[in-house]
Amino acid sequence: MVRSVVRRIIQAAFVLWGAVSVVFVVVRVVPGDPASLLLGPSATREQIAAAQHSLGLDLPIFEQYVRYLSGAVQLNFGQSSRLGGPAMTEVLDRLPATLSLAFVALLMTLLVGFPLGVWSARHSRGVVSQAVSLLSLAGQGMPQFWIGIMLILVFSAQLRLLPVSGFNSLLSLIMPGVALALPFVGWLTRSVRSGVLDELGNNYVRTARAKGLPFRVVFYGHVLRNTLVPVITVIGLLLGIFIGSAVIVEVVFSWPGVGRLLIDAITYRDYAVVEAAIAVITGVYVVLNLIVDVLYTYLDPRIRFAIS
Amino acid sequence: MAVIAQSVGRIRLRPRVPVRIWFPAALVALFILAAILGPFIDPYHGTQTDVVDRLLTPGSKLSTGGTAWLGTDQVGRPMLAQLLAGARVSLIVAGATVLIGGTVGLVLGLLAGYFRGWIDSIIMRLGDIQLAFPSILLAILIAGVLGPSVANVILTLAITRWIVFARVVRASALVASRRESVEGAKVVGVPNLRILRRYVLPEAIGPMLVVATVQVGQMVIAEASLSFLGLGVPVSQASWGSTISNGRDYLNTAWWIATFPGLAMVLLVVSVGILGDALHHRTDIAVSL
Repeated sequence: MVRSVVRRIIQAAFVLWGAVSVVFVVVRVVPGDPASLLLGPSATREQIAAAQHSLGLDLPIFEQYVRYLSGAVQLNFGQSSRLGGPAMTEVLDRLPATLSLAFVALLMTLLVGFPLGVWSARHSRGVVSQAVSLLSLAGQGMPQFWIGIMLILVFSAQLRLLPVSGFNSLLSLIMPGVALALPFVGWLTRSVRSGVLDELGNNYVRTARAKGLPFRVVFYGHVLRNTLVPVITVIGLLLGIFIGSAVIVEVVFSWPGVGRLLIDAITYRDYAVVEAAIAVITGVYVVLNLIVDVLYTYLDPRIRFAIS
Repeated sequence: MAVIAQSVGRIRLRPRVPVRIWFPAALVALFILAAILGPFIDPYHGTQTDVVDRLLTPGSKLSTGGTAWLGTDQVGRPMLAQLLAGARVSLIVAGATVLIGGTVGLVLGLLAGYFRGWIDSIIMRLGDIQLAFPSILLAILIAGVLGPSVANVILTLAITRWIVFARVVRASALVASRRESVEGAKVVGVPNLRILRRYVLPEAIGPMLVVATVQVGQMVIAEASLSFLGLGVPVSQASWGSTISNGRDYLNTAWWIATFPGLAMVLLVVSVGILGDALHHRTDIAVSL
């Protein structure tokens, strides 16, 4: 058991290294040099060369890579060429905003998705349940940025109830949260529904009913309990997804988070910030997946005993 | 599904396709038709702006005499034409992405699942590294670096998708490779390529198609997201995403610019999703038989 955990940790570290290296390669491959972008079209060749030197861009690629990696391990990605400060600081400053958004979305998804999924499985033959299924599918098919814009249209432009952009109050969290969460509410509803329905097909359900237990007891006491075992893994998975895909919603709502910082950094070829932001986001993502992996193995006794 | 050819009473001669299958299929076909015929029926001219006609409500008359059934945008371009052109872009990008990503994923998945060993390790490790990136982030990174163009978008999205296909195909290949028929073929000396083609590939096609169908819908959304950010299709070509981005500034005055492309997208993606679901059920039944 411990061995498999250690193995997974090593795998995660390897994946993280790979991701960080991929960013380095992708970012450097680009035509378009941050020095000239910074200084503008009227810069002289000497000025550009000097800027490149100060940004460390005139070193051979391999040396740049080594510098980059040794810095990355210490969480130092250099200075932001656009904003001036240390890149990592810029990213970490904006991390709380993105995390709050992700958490709110997670809360919404869980509070709506689970009950809805369970209910629609309980009454799976009803018309309303089919409608819920269809609506969930519809939710999954909506692009998050469009949901956000429609929400702004209705609640800000027409009804003037909620703020359009920025992170100024708790109210500001509502629309971006919904926009981020809606497709996954649909996904969770359908997943829970099919999970419960699958579970209902098991032999022990038939046995319990044959024993004379009322359906209600069987459903809530046994079926539901078994279906909810992977709840924690769903939470971890969703959190990771929300942190990673918050980018688009952040752009729509001018949210002061890491995602929007990343987009700006890409536009201005601010290498350091791009690298730092992606390192942080993928780092969180990988760690979350690792925890989910380990917990899933640990929580399901069948797998746990199979391994050890 | 064999049928009894004799007309005994009221036996149906042909199994009836349920509504929940043919309706979404018809919708998808409609979209495809609209995408193909669009440029001939209602062509979109990105640069033909007519400021007189700007921000007209749906159903208004244009200065050229026609009707703007879905309104016009802020520079006077009719929305319907934009939607049709956008449908074309979305379907081309999604289709090409799934084709390219699917093919690469199919090949790599087959190799990984059949030969296993170090090939499998390398392919799966690469996939793991790629999956460390939330897919939209990876797409933004690559597209941001490559610049806006249809080809770049297709390339970007195909790069993000191959692993999805590879994993599914690999799973099927692992199962199929363990069969006795494959072992027997190897013993007899059948070359690997032929084994792959005749024994392993048919096993993988079913799940692969299911994934491909779902991915088409996802890729429509992904392309729209990239175009919305300005990283996807160039602005001169109408994409649902860039149209929605245009509409952002006019929510108070012209809500239709941002609304209609989104509705079209939802309709398309949901229809494709339903079809994918149905395909899933059918292949599941076939497999378990």
